[in-house]
Parts: sequence; C-alpha cells; structure tokens
Amino acid sequence: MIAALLLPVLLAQAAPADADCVVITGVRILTVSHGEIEAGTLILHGDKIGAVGADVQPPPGAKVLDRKGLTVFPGILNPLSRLGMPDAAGAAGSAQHLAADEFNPVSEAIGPAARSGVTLFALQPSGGGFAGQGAFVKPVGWTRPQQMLEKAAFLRLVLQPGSTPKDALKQGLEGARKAFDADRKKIDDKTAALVQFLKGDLVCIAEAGTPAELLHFWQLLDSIPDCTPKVVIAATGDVYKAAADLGARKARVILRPALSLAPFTRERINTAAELDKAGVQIAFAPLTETRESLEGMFFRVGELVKYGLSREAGLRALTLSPAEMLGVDRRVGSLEAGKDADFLLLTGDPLSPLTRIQEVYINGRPVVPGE
Amino acid sequence: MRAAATLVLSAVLLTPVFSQQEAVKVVAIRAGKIFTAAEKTYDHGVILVEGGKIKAVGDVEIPAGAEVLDYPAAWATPGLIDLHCHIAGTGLRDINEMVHPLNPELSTRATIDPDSDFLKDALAGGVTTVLYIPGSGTNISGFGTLLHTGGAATTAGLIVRFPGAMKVAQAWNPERQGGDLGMSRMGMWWGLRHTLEEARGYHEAWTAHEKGDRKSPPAKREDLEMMRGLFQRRWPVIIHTADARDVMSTVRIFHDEFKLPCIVSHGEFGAYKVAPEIAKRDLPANIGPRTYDWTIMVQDGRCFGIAAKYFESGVKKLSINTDSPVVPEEELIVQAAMSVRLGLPEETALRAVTIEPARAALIDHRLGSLEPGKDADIVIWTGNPLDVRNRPVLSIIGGKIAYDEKKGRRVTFGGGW
Amino acid sequence: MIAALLLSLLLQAPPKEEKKAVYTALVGGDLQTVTQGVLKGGTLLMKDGKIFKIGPVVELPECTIKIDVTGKRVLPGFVAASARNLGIAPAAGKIADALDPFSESVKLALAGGITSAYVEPSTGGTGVFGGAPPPSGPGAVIKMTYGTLDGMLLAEPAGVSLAAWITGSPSERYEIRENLTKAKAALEKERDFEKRRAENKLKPDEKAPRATGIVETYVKLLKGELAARLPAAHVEELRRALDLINEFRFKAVLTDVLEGWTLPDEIGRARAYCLVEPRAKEHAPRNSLRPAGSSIEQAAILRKAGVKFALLPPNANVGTGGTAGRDLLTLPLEGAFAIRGGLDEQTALEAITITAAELCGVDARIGSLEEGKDADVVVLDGDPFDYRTFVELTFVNGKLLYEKATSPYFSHLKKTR
Repeated sequence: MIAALLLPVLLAQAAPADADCVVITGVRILTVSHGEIEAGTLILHGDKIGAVGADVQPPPGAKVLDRKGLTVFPGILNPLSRLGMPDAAGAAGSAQHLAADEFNPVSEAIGPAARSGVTLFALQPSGGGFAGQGAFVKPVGWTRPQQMLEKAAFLRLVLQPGSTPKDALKQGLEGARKAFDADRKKIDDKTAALVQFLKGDLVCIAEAGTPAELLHFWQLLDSIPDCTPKVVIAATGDVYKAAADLGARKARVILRPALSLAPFTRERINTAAELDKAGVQIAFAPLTETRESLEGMFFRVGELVKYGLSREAGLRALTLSPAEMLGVDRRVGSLEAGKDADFLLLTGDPLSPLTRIQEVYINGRPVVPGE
Repeated sequence: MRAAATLVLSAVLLTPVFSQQEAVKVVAIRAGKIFTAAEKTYDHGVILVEGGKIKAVGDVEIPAGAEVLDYPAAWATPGLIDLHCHIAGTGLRDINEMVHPLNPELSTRATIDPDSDFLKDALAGGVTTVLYIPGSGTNISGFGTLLHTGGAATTAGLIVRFPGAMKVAQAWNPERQGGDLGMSRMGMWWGLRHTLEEARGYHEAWTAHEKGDRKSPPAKREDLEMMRGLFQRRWPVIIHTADARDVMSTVRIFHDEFKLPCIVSHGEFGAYKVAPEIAKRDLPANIGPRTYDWTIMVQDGRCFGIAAKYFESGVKKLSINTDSPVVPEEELIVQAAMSVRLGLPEETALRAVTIEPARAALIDHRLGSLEPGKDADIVIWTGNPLDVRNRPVLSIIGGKIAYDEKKGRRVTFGGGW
Repeated sequence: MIAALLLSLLLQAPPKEEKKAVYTALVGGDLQTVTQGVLKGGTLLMKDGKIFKIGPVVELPECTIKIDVTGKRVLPGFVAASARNLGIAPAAGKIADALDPFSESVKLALAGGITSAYVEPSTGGTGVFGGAPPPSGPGAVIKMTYGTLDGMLLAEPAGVSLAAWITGSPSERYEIRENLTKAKAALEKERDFEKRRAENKLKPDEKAPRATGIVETYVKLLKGELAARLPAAHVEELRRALDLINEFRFKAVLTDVLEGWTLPDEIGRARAYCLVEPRAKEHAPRNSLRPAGSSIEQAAILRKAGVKFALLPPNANVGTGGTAGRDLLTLPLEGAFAIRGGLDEQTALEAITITAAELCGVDARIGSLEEGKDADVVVLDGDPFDYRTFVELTFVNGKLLYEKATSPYFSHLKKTR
C-alpha cells in the first residue's frame, strides 16, 4: 500500500556482481522505517543490507534464495539485557565499570537467545546508582569478531528513593558539571563518564522503580545548568500516572510489554498505548531472557495492539525505537540499505500467534538455517 | 387446653423471689423518642416496666406510685445485641482450643469473667446482650453463650441462654497448618459434614428413644449432645464465613442439606455478590467487623458498604456485629453508623443491632424490641444513637438499672485493632 | 534614521507573555473559617493557589471558575498531625527525597478531606499488633499534591523526635540533656552577639557564632522554630517529658497521650501540645491508687486546662482494610468522639485544622480560611461531625484534586438527607 508509493531511491543501491551477495526473493518485507512491501526482494552484501524493494534487480552472480510465503522483519532489540551476565545481587556499581567486563562470551544462554528473534542485546552492568556503562552484543559465537559491537555504549542509572542515593547522585552530577572544562587527563574515569552524559555524548538509561522517582530525577537534572543530557527511562507499568509529564518532556521510555491494572480495580490499563498517545517514544524489554520469554515478545506486543496500541508503535518499539534511543540506529533497527543484515524470516505476520521464526540472520549469515 | 392456661396463669402470678421488691413497683420511663424496633416509633412516649418485663409502650398513662425516670429529650431503644463477641473472657487465649479441628463438646461458658472491664465498657456503650462465642481457629470451635453485659455479679446471673449458638468457622482461619486433615476446603468440608451427619443420627436415635420408639437408650456422646439443640431449632449455628464461594458452601451445607437454623456471619470479601441467595432462603446475615468491601474481590474501585449491598439484594434478616475485640464491643452502634454512612437506611441499621440479632439467635420472644411481654432491656441515649456524639446515660437490664451515668460515668471507650 | 530603525525594532518586539492568573470561586456555601467564625452563604475566591478573598459578596474577575456550593459547608482542608505510610516511599533520610505524589494513599487522603499531614521517614513495616518503630529522622509536613512534587513539601524539618528521652537508655537521656544545655549556651552566645552588633560593640572580624549538627537543631527548638515530639502515654512518661520541657522551655508535642487527663494543669503550664486519640483505650489497673487509664473525656479535660491538642484516629493512615471509621479517611469522626466526651465543637474543629497546623509550625500557611493562606479547601455535604457527611471537593494549592461525584470511591453513595 503505502510502501509501494514511498520507496525511496536509497533502498536500491547499484550492487556490483559479487559472490558475497545473497538475494532473498518473494518475501513480504516489514521495513519498520519505510512501511511494508508486499512482494519484495532483499539483497545482502556481505554483512550489510544492500538493497530493499519491490523492483530490485538481483545482481548477476548473486546467490538467490526464494523464500516465497515468508515475512522479513528486522531482528528485535532487547534494550535491558543481562544475557551472559553473572547473578550480581548486592554488587556495587560505579559509572566507570563496564558491563563488557562482566560478560561471559561463551555463556550457554547465547545459543538459545540466537534462535529467539532478538539480534541485539544491550547489556546492563551490575549494581545500583550509576552502575556503569553497558555494551551491545549480538548473539553470535565469540570467535566471530562482531559479537560485541561496542563496549561503552550507554550509561546505566538505577534510581532509588531516600536521601543517601539521592545525595550521591547529586554529588556525582554536580561534580561532573564542574569538570566540564577540565583537562580529561586530570579527571577520573567515573567523572569523565558523567561529563559525557551531561554533555549529551553518552546516553543514560535511568531505571525507576516508581513514577515518583522520575519526578525527583527530573528535579535534579533541571537544577544542573547548561547541560544537554540524553536520558532513556526504564519504567514499571504504573508509569502511566506520569504520562502527561513524560509527554511534555518528549521522553523515551522502555517498558515491559504487559497490561497494568488500575489500583483497586480490574480495569486494564495499556501503559504502552497511553504513553504513545501522550507523545512518548516507547520501546519494549522482556521480563526474563529465556528463549520462550524472548520469543514471546511478539505475542505480548500483539496483545497490547489488540488492546489499543497502534500496530506501528508496537512493531517500532521492538526494533527501531530502542535502536534510536540507544544511538545504534545507524546500524540496526530497520530494513534499510547500509544497515546490518540482522533480520528474521517469519512464517507469517509477526503479531499473529500462529507465526514461527523460521530463520534468523545476523550480520548477513543464517544463525538458524531454514529447511 | 385449660390445663395449659392454668399453667400460664400461675407462671404469671408466681414472681421470682429476687425481684419481689420490684414486682410491686412499676417504673415509668419517659423519653423524647422511643425506638421500639417493632411497628412504631414514638415521639414523647412512655415505657412501663414491671417485674422485669415491659408492660406497655407508647402513649400510655403512668400509674400512681410508679417510679418515673424522666428523659424528655432522650432516645430510648432496646438494649443492643451483638451476635459476634469474643471479649467476655480473659483475652484471646480463652477463645480457641485448636488440638482437634472439630470441637462441638467445648463451650465458652467456663471462660466468662462476670467482672470483666470489657463487659462494663460494652454496657456503658449500650450493648446489653452478647453472644460470646469461641474463635475461628477450628471448623467447629464450640458453643457460645448468650449473656447480658451487666446487671448481675455472677456468670449464672448474666446468662440469658446457654447454649447460645454453635460456632462454626467455614474457612479463612481454621485451615490446619500442621499437615493434618483440614488443610484445604476438601478436608474442612468433609469434617463439617461428617460431624453434622453424626449429630443428626444421634439426634434421631435419641428422639426415637424419647418417643418410646426404641427400648434401650443410645450411647451418650457429650460432643454431640448440645448439637441436638440445632436440630430441635432451640439454638442456631453461627458461621464465620466469607467470599462468595465459601458463603455458598455455608448456605448449602447448613441450610439446604441439614436444614438447621443458621446465621451467616461476616459475609465479606465479595460475598455480597451471593447475597440474593441468602435473601432467597430468608437467612440471617450478620455483617462485621468489616463494613466495606474494597481491597479484595474488587472490580471498579468502589468502596461498597457490605450491609447496604446485602440490604439491596433483599436480605431482610440483617444484623451487624463488632467481632470484638477487632472493633470494641461498645462501638457496636458505631458499626451501625458506618453502615448507614455507606448506604444502609437508618432504621434498618438500628434494627440490625436490636430485633434482627435477637431473631437470628432465636431469643426474640424475650429480647430485641420494646414490646409488652418482653424483657425490660432498655437503653437511654442523649440523642439519636447513630450520631456518635451521643452516648447512653442509662442501661436497664431485666427491669433493673445496670448502668447509670449519674452514679459514675464510664469513660473507657474504644481500643480495638 | 537609527532612531526610526530602533523604533521599528521595538514595535516588532514580541509582546511579553503574561502568565494569566487562575481564579476559582466557591459561591453560596457556609464558610467555616475556624479562626473567624462562620460566614453563611459567602464567597471564597482563590487566586494562584492562595485564598485571595473571603466575603459575603465578592467581585469575581471575568475568567473565574465559579463553583456553586449552596447548601454545603466550606472548610479548610484537614490536617493530620501524624500519619504513616502516606505520600512517601519507605526510605531513610529526608522526607523531601522520599516524596511519592503518585501514591494511591494520597488520592485516598484527598477523598477524606486531608490536605496536609505530618510524616516521619520510615523503612516500612508496621504490624497489625505492633506499633511503629521510632522514626529514623525528623518529620515533615507534606501536602496531598497528587501528581506533582511542586508544593508537596510544606515544611521540613517540622518536628524532631526526643523519644529517646522517654524510652531510651540513661546514656541517651544524658546526651539529650547535654546537647540541650549546649544549645542553651549557644543561644545565649547568639543573643549576646546580636546585642553587641546592635550596639556596634563587635570586635573586628568577629563573625556570628553558628552551632552545628544536633546542637543547631536544638537551638531551633529553644527558639521555638521547631517542635520536639515526645511519646508520653502514661503519667510517668508525661512527668518525665514535662520535667525536660520545664527545664529547657521548648515547644513540645506530646504524642500518644493517654493519661494526660489526670494532670491537665501541669501540661497546660508547660504549654505543651498533645496528640490525642479519643478512642485510645486502656483500663486502669485494678489496684491503682490514682486516676489512671484512658478516658473519652480527655480532650474536654485538656481543653478546660487550656491545653492545645490535635486529634488522631486509631489508625493514623489511610486504610482500605474494611473497618470504616477508624482511620484518616474519617478524621472528623474523631472530633465527634471528642464531642461525645464533652468537648465543644469549635475546639474539635480546631483540633483537626488550625491547632494541628500550629503544632507542626505551619499555621501561617494552612489550617484556616483566611486571605493570604494557601488555598487548601474542602467542601462538605453537611456538618463535619455528622457521621454521614462526605467530602465533595478537595482543593490543594487552589487545584481541584478530588471530586466525589467523578471519583469511583464514593460516587455511588448519594446523600439521603
């Protein structure tokens, strides 16, 4: 429908004749960024997407795979992941810690995760307060060079009520503000990370246990002059209570894909839909990372769409939105030429409960080969 | 017939020794408003008391020589009655024996402390009769006692009727924690039915023997003896029960299957949804200590008045309790006031602490309303009792003054959980 | 040329955005101001969160939101002199850092007409039977500003606990006395400095002496800028508290006062405030040689001795457990019980409004309907001390935050009188 009209030229790149070129034909393509293509072709060039379109010519010499009947969807992101991370209850966090240092590249969880449809995991460091900096990991074997995309991709902050954590937070941020113009060699790594955050160079995922914590956090951030921090909020289901404030700040919020209940009632509240309506950008993260839980993301999003979330917002919240929030949208999140060839071949529409994941491609290679 | 008439006549002429003085004297109470809990409410009426009984109510002439108690601005009501009371003994320790899950041989009679401060508080709060029952630690915790809260120095003097009622806890407390039978509703219901069946068989065997239909008497069983009274409809079984599922089980077992006089007590946690079933069977419902249903079984965030919901569903035999000490016994009238606040009509609420509990307890031939022939249990209030700013100034039990504020105001009031 | 250019620039300058004032008027109701009598059929005009004008007739600006409250009563929002689990997350430290304006407890408090409450930091957890653990820090007054942190914290610190003086070890008590003595000396130094500054007799480079830490807090106590809270239920605790107060002469709030009615004049002389729970009950020990235990008349007795107090319910939180009339949802009911005990209505009203504010040190801002005070206002459908009265509207800082008719809690309960 709209897809056919909105096909930008970008999608079709002149692909040179290449043995490294794979062409997937006959597929329905949900690009997320540029609508849906009913009968399309996907050209892979090495580990990137070469072209996406309805009338794309496969270059000579390319390997052609007819996947008629299948639907192509971008690999989904988990923006709040602990894949391959140790159980770290009680660990103390610090802004300079790296989740990459805790990550086990040969964790047994990675294999099943690869089959789940999630192709990028944003690893969260352990601990409270400014816990540390997270990394992006793809669920491919550790010998493959592209397992870890970035070691210090974003900052993680766990918000807690009470004077002690708040005073620590205030001290850290005010100290960083003072160090804006300091010589990098003269400030410690912890402060350097916070400086990057306040300058807007390092996005921070701030996790709030209650919506009240956000009000306290904003109060603190607003009190620090002349800074442009980028914040992504990870919130609980009752954050709908702050929908107006979130909308006014054009906030970006990561949620569990679940319905909430209004207190004292059985009245369902579709938090994701409420936030979306208020102008908030939303992304989803699963509660746990077992294969069933990750695969089940599609089903849960389907339920939210059934109860009022727009389909577009729901599908975007699994893919392009988390990618944009965490600054990795240059590489992943949608099916566009130039982006990583991370995608899923589904037996039907992603939001249909009858749909299975048939194949998973990461960096242009099938992780889960088809029949 | 004539023999019976002679019997009745002589009973009237024979007055009990201890009230010989009062037998001659008539007491007339003049009040600004008389709530009888019967057909009429009187403005500026008189209650005549003689021989411990109410002789007349309303627009009556005061005979010469009568002692007049003049309360022209006050309200007079029947003494209040609470069917779910645990405070006549010595603390909570006295109300549960939990070795076995079924204890129909036990009763609260031995634990009554006639000197209890809690009973004195209750009396000063206008409560003149309580059904003092065991707790809900077991499915059948024993038999309760109907007693006055004052007017006598001894337990025997206080007792209105023993047994008062059999106390059953359907669920929501008696679940066995030690792994024995009765951990789940399967075991609990089995135990209740088994005991009721045994009791029914026992009662039928003894009835046959008493009628002469069997020669040798059946074996005596002290655990089933008092249960005979249930089948004879001399006293009821009061059941602590809540939530729709368990209230329906109560109704099915005790009323539908065993046809016993029963009282559905508490009835909270969303059980109001099956109130129509209680209304259909015209069963008594005894509401309290919770007066509203909110956090459990809630649907739309509304604070529902439980008594009001039962009333709207057509339950006529509606009474209110305190489950003292959860709510202090003297706050029985406050429970009624809160029920009104949450939607129950005023008159229904006043009847719910007077005639309806008497009816449910099968004692309404003596108590519960200001009607000729009934016991003179009367309370004088400074105004409408439901307005908590008002208080009792005089409590009369059996025609004698049991509490008189003029002789010393009882100032301990409240407490509870 | 340049002038013309400048002029044109001036003319093109965008007009300054003026923030429009927000006016709301409550018209036609009976205004119970608490401090200046009742104005029947008057108008209360709120502007930008403050009470702007009160009068029999008030000229209303064009954009005023007019609410007709004919037949209703307009009162200042109720003040809970102590509250648990209300509007704060369980966390140690400053109340400012634990505020939770999205808590359901705030919504419920508004439905009960509570607009401000004194809270203390807690790490959560109070049993049904057990009391609250001692607070981990000074208390604060918070407002029920649902949905926003703006204006939620009214005053912090608003009270400092000297509980250790009553319940602590001898060394803790010694420490308190020692620090108070230091504070007394520090205050004298301060006053001496100010005196010499006024007379220009300061030494060169002499700076004002500043106390720090606990001594600084105690200096505030001695100056009357802060109140100390001491738990003092029984006579021995009251005497101990009064000893300290009389020695150091600070503003004190005695909490959990039970036997205050036995020494009202001494409490009056110490000018201590009391927190009174009219329905706190304790029987006097049987062998007591002096008046002891609780009394429903305590509030009236304290009033006669000129003691100021605030009233509290049996459960100083917003309950949803089912027993109506025992928590902050029905705070005015406590006034009704105090009236039952002989207190006059005016003092009862003050005890849940202005006096509660006064003992928290915030009476300049809240607690009565006076021009210039915060627009924390409630509209009731009847006499505040009538058990059937509900809150219909609640304003905090001039914003309508609760409306009975549109909130699910009580909108199904229609006024029947």
